[in-house]
Amino acid sequence: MKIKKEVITRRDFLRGTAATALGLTVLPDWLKAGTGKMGIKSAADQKSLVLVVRNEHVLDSSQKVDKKVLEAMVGEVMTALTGEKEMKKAWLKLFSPKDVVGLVPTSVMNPTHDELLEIVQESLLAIGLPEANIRLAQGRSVDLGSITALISLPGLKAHWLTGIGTVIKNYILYSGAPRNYHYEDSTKLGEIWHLPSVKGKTRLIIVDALLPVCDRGPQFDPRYRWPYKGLLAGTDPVALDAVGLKIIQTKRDELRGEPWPISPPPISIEAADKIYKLGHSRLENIEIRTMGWAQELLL
Amino acid sequence: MHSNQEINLPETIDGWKMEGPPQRIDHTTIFDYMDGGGELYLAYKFKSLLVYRYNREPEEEMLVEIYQMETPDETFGLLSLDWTGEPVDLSSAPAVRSENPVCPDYTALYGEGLLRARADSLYLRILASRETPDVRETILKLGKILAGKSPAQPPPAILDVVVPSTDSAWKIRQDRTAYFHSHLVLNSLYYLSHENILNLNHSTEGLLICFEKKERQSGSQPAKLIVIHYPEAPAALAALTSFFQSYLPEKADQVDLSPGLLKTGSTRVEDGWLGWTLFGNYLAFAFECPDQKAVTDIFSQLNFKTIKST
Repeated sequence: MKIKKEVITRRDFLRGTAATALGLTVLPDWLKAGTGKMGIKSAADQKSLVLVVRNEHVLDSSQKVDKKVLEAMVGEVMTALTGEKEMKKAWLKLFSPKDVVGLVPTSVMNPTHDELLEIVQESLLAIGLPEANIRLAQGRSVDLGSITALISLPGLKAHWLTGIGTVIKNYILYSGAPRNYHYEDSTKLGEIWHLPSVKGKTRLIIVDALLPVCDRGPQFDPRYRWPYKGLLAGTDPVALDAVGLKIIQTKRDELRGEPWPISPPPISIEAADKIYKLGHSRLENIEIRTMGWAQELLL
Repeated sequence: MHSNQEINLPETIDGWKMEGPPQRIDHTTIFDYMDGGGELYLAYKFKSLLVYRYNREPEEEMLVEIYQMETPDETFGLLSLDWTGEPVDLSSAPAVRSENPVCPDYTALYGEGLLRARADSLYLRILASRETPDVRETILKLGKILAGKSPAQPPPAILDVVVPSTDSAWKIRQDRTAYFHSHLVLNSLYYLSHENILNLNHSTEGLLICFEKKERQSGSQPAKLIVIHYPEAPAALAALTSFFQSYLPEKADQVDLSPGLLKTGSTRVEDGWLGWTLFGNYLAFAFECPDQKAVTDIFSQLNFKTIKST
């Protein structure tokens, strides 16, 4: 019998050989040289840093955001990432008043809270960026050429075609052909981060985990949204997805009282690490620094 | 109600006001309506969708989605993706339900401001932006307007192939039974491969059934049974061949995959015993069985002859 080409199956994940099975065959020619880890690691041990900042008062009983509390959380993120306590100095460490900054929120299923976008926008205005140089940059028709820096602001959520649909997937529309990155092709999501108009521009990632969604979708079901009341932040997109995945998976298991694995397995995370060299996917290579409210941390 | 073209929802209800005429979606526009989600409905033989929006002060919204599918089996499949929630009765007639040992007999499920229901060939989703007791009442009223006069529909005939045995050490987790056509849907329930290794498509029908030990031990995983009905026997054999090539390549040369009515076997893999059985145009697999006897026990609850027309 003629054996088919290698396909990734459940058994590859059980054996821990999914990354090997992926091989390098999915790497397009334009990408075969010059990939390198994009995230900023903690200086001490070369681990990627992921901040988890939570505050139990950021949402009221009807899940409305207290913007002042959220602003303080963003401040904690910026201080922890830059070492600067004064907010203007912290933002100026990552962005210049000459930058043209694209803000990339999630628009569907679990949209990024408007308040988070406003806080980031106000912070950039405060360091002297002209309003015209702060742009919403989610979608197919974004002029990425003129943008010098990106801030990714996705909502934390599972996804029915890719397992998780948070950081790595947040740039899917930049590909111009999002349907080419679903199913087995979700392994290729990492290549979008290497497009010339995208590569190296992401200076900050803040994941909106105020109200994550732990079921796959594709449509919103309020029963699987819960008030985690957190932000995940850093610069390593892979590490942030890996930590987000851990939170979602733990919540799923807790909801069912038994293992409820995310399905399909989010292969894009491992591929983004092993093939596209975008950051660290393994938790032992990630420093998770938690701040604030510790109840039901799920980590 | 047999068609979403016959819908006549009220302009106002309990202080809610309908916002304009419904949005009409077909298979050419479904990805504009739900990018990354249209595949789900297309996988269940989607025909069209009507979307109504209601508003109420201050800032409350309610979305009423009415999906027209080709057959009632498709609406069963969509509901079967998640049997959790509060079962509710939308029918105006006294409920006549036939006991089904394989899956719940619910036709409508409610939870936290979301109603999901099947009514004939319509699949309904009514979602409120905020849940309160009165919002729940309004959602159920709308559900009854849409589904109240629909005749009761039996589940897909393929469920008859599973005949639970009282003598078995294994019992069915009814709330995990799902009906599907597509490998995308199967993967979202139980992952086998990112590729379509069972050659699933609209002409195939699939069931996922979870079995657990009657005397369940803590930490034990349920065994999974996948049953696929193909339009003809050669398609079922081709799918078994494809499965071996992709999933069990080390066994592909050792099993008889020549045409024949019945082929069955089992082998140990990383997550337990895996069994397969091919009977005409039916193909079934048992996954994550703790031992070979469990494979036999679970397959003994299949009766392919119970299906009248294959």
